[in-house]
Amino acid sequence: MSLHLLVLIPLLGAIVLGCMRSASIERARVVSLLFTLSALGVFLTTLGSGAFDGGELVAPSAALGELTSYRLAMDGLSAPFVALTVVLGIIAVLSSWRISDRPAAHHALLLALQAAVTGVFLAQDVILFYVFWEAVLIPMFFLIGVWGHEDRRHAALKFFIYTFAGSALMLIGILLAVYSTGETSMAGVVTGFQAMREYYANSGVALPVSPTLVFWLIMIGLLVKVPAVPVHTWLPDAHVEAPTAGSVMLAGVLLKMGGYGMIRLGIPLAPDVFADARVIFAILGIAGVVYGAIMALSQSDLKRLVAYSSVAHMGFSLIALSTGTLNGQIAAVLIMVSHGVVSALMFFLVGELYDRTHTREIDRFSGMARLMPAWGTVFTFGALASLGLPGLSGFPGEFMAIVEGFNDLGWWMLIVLLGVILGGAYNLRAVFAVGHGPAASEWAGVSDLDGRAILVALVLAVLIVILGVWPRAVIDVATPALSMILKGGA
Amino acid sequence: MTWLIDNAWIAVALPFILVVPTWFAGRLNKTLAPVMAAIGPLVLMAAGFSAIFSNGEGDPSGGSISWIPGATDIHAGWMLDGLTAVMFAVVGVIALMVVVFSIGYMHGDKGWARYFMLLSLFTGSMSLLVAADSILILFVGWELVGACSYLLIGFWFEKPSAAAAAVKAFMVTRIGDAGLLLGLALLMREVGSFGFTEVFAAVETIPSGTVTAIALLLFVGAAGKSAQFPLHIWLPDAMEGPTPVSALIHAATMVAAGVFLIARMWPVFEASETALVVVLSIGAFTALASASIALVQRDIKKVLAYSTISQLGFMFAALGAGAWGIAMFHLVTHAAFKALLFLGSGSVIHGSGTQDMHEMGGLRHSMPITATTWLLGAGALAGVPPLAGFFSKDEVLHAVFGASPVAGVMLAVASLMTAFYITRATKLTFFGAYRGDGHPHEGGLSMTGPLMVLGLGAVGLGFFGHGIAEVLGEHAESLDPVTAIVSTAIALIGIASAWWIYREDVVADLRLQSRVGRIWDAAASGYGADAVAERGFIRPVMSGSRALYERFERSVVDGAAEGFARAVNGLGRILSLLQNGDGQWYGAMLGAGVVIMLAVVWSYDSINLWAANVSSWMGW
Repeated sequence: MSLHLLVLIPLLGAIVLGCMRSASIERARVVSLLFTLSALGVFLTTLGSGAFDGGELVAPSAALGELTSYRLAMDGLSAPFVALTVVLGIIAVLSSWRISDRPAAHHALLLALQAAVTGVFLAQDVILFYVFWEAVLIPMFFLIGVWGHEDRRHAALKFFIYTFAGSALMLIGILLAVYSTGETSMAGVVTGFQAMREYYANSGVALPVSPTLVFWLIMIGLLVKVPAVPVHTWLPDAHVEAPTAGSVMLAGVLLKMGGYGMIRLGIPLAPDVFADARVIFAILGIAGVVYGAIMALSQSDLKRLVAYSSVAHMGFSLIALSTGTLNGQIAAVLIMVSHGVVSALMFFLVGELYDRTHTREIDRFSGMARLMPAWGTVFTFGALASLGLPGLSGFPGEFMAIVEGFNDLGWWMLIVLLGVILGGAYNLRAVFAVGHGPAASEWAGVSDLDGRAILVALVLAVLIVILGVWPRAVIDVATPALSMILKGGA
Repeated sequence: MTWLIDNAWIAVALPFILVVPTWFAGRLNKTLAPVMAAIGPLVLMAAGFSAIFSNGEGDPSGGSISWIPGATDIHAGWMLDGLTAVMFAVVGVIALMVVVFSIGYMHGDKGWARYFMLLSLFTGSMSLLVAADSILILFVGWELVGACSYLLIGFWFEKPSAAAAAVKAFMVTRIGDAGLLLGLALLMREVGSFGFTEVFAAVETIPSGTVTAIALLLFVGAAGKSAQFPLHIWLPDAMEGPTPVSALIHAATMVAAGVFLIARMWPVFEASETALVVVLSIGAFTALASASIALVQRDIKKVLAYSTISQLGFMFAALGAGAWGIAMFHLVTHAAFKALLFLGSGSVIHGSGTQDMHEMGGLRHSMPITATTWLLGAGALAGVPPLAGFFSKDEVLHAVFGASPVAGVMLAVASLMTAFYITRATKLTFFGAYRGDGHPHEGGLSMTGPLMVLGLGAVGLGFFGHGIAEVLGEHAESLDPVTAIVSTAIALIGIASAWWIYREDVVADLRLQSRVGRIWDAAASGYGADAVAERGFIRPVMSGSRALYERFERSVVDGAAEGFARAVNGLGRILSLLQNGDGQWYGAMLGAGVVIMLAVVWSYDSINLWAANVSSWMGW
């Protein structure tokens, strides 16, 4: 039942807030905070009660038509992502603390978004998975389009169409898989697809549907979401225009749907096709790491810089996945969880800076670490986490990705090391240009982070340290599930 | 004390645990912060010295836990053997002296709490580096000390030069670290473990070419950290940090980590003749070139910075000659006398308010303790018997001569320059007449105390060469009389000629500058290494990345996506002449998008065929 609550609580919150349209800013945010906190409470109780013991926790399902059913389950692969979602859900609400334009609607959309994303990570039915996947787009579209910055309408539309076009292909792929297996449950589709291929192979009859086609249809949808270079250009635009909470959820959680979908569905569905195509994922990953870092380095807009860093980090997760090994998949999960927390912190800090200065132009800042010492400290910390400093969350995953990638790709990894070096460059450039130097007179008297913001920063910073010092918090949970999926069970 | 030896991880963990409390303590009560920051070094000293004195009793202690389990279980662990014990002692003593010195030096700074917090973080990170039982954990400590270095060089971050120097230090060492990272990946592939024991056991089974590759990659990391050519360019700029930090991080401990790394990974380097030749060549070249740059610097800290690069070159040359125990011996004595010289320069800067030696002079009258202890440090650096540097440098020279006479001559010339530049600095700073317009004064006991303690080290440490070799488990070398006589002569010639040439102090600088202006300017600018880095790397990367963004990302990659959307929009308008309205706009775009992407996917067979081709081409 608790799994259903993880989806229903934020959904209920969205409905409640939707009904109190004229609520004051104070009331809206408190209600929203209460719902996200209860979602966290439910999640922690689920973990604490021992109901989830690292295996698979299946919630009671309800049939939806002949094939499909509303089936949720949480295993070691879902759990880290659900954890990320419930935590960042709270952070998103706290990031929207000062939203005064239709606050109830804003918070309602945030909660709806959380419900949909949680659904993606819990769905055990491919149709349900797709429904949640698309449902994510709607609140995000309005968050960007209504509460965004100057060019919000264009960015919202671009985000919507770009990712929708990708998911349309994914839908075709999913439907082909469903029709060829007669199954819609995640495990059923995966095992059924293999069985179907074996059956045809044994009978010597040509396959009715090409596994390669199905594989690529689904993968393209996932790759757009990751996002992989060159289908990434929706991301910087969406980030720059999105309100802070939108960016936190977008970078922190939404991008992870891509990698999660690959591990859960795309790769297990046709492991042999994936094995042949691994080089493409490796190239996409390497391109992402280096190209994302170069793009981040060249930015004059601080938020766009952070947005491009997502492309670089997700490139690492693609490299890790491309190895096709258990270690690679563990690394990919670690990278995604870490990036979720780190990018949330960075976007939060950029948002706080924007709230005070109404600009993101790097050149207009100087010495902000003197004017806003707490902000400067956390920003430096975030930059060090982002460049993969050991002891912080980014290191274990990216390190594993490099080691595994080297096993697989050999000296091609030299190119990735270029990305590692550039990763230091763009992060430190941001600190140097914005935080350091003489305090800009333009911003004299600007206020430092308040108690709420310090709380947010502290929570994220502590998580970053915990994940860096003790990556087993994720690894121990994810490994059994990952090795089962790799062995062909789902 | 056996308890501490068996649980030496506490000495590593404690400074980390105290990082945040030190900051809070500093905010609450000024005096509390240095007290907290001193705890870590004290425990480290206790662990180090008790291990040194109980040497030989049983196996080295250690322990580990599973850190990154997966298909390969990666452990995190520590060990306390002779090498770690020596480093514990060095780091503990120097860190303690620096904390005490900083009480006086950093008095009244608004970053007081942050400063001591970072010192605590550094102590923890450095002890993690030296106590690691695997190359991975060593790397973790390695990166963390680099981050501390970044944060402390940029401690006065409002000063653009300090902020820039911090970035430069981090980026240049990161280039080295990228090599080190690849070395780790290669080790993992060949050995399947990062543990030192496992790696050493497997060295013989690794093909010799691969061993050389591993050793060279590790050396790239070591060269970055220890500022060896051509990755040395960050260290002179690092002098922007508070001077006690320069003494601790950029003279005695962190910059020596590269030497420690090779000493620690000795079986790997021993197995590769090629790698050792490279280490020897780079070390000898760096020692010589950097000593020549130190000859002409006006900034007292820059003299010491180039001197440090040069002395690290001596250590690498010793490593390349196969004498890692001697390199470690020089590391220990250098830590003492160079930390002394840096703290001495800090005392001078604090007392006179300038770093320019042309504005100093005659400071021995106003700062007698600083001057006396400085003389001990300078003598040790120059190699005056029986001070510490004399013994360790002689052993280095002897070992290098044995391995390569050419490198030996290079180091001998570098030694001559060393004696010359430190005498010049001493003369300009402490002798002659005062040329500044301030009121130079000696600092309090917190500053003079550490100078005196380190002075004892600079005098006495040379006699512990045998002891240190024994703790390291190395064969102790006895002093070679010929080398000793020659090197003493070199030191005396260097000192005497400098004293004579600089008899009229700054006038000599001006005279030399007018006579050999070109050479002087070239050396003063570090032979243009910074300009090469600026013009050859930084500017092309920055302008190239901007061009790539404008001309490729915006116009081609994103332009294709946007253009596609516009084209579909136009098409939609033509097709729906009867209807207009915005809803049509993205409906049409969407449909066409799907169609086009489908067309791509329908050639799916060719995708995988292409992938197979690429795979075989890439060779995997």
